[in-house]
Amino acid sequence: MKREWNTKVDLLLAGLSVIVFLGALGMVFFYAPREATLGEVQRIFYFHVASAWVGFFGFFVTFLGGALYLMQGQRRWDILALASAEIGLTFITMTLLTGMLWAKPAWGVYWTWEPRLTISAVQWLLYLAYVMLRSSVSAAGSGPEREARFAAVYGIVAFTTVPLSWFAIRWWRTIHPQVFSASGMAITPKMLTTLLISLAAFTVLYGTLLRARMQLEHERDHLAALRCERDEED
Amino acid sequence: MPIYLLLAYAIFCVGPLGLAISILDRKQRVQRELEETASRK
Repeated sequence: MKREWNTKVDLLLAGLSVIVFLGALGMVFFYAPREATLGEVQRIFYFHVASAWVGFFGFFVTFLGGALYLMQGQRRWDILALASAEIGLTFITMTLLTGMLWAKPAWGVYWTWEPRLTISAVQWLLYLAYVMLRSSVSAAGSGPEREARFAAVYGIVAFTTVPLSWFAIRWWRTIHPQVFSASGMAITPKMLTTLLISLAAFTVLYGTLLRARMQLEHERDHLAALRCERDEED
Repeated sequence: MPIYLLLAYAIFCVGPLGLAISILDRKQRVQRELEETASRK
């Protein structure tokens, strides 16, 4: 009964994600106006910002899951942190790649070592290591609790790159555009609506992926428990 | 339409789709192993 219900919720969430994603895509190409300076390439901005938002939010959830795991020691918080880090890494990878595609026509180069981009590169490497370490620590035979504790501390420390990245364009001289500032927003109302819809679409997508990734980890735990039982019986 | 824009939106579509397929694939493998383990008990 519970499994049937879960399948229905999964399908509903997947359908909703596809609808809002396509809706946002339509708005980017058919509703948002053409920007005067950059032209069509400026349209990368909407999903680029939404992707960065999901990446940052995903890392925040990893931070939160890690902190809760250290406080309560419950496996579900560790699962939440791991699942969210994997999704956050995927979206930050997309942000970096599409940022490079935007930078080439805007700045004339794919990459430059300015503060925001440098912090983003360090952040990407840190979370790539996090996701890779989660499998290698287990393989080294250090035990699931020790692995989870280590990952929790790592996730908390790595999260410092998120506020650093946010403030990098405010604290230091940088060529990265600053859309949101104390003086207001540097976009038109139609652009803002498109951006908000894109943010909502990517957030729904994050929720759907997070749920699926957490289910996978729960099923892995179930499999490990079953195997343990069987070994004891043998 | 600029090639950079097309490439960027190809990445935006392939990224989440690839992750979703990867999760579903791993899930199916675990479920198969679960069924095998349960049937052997």
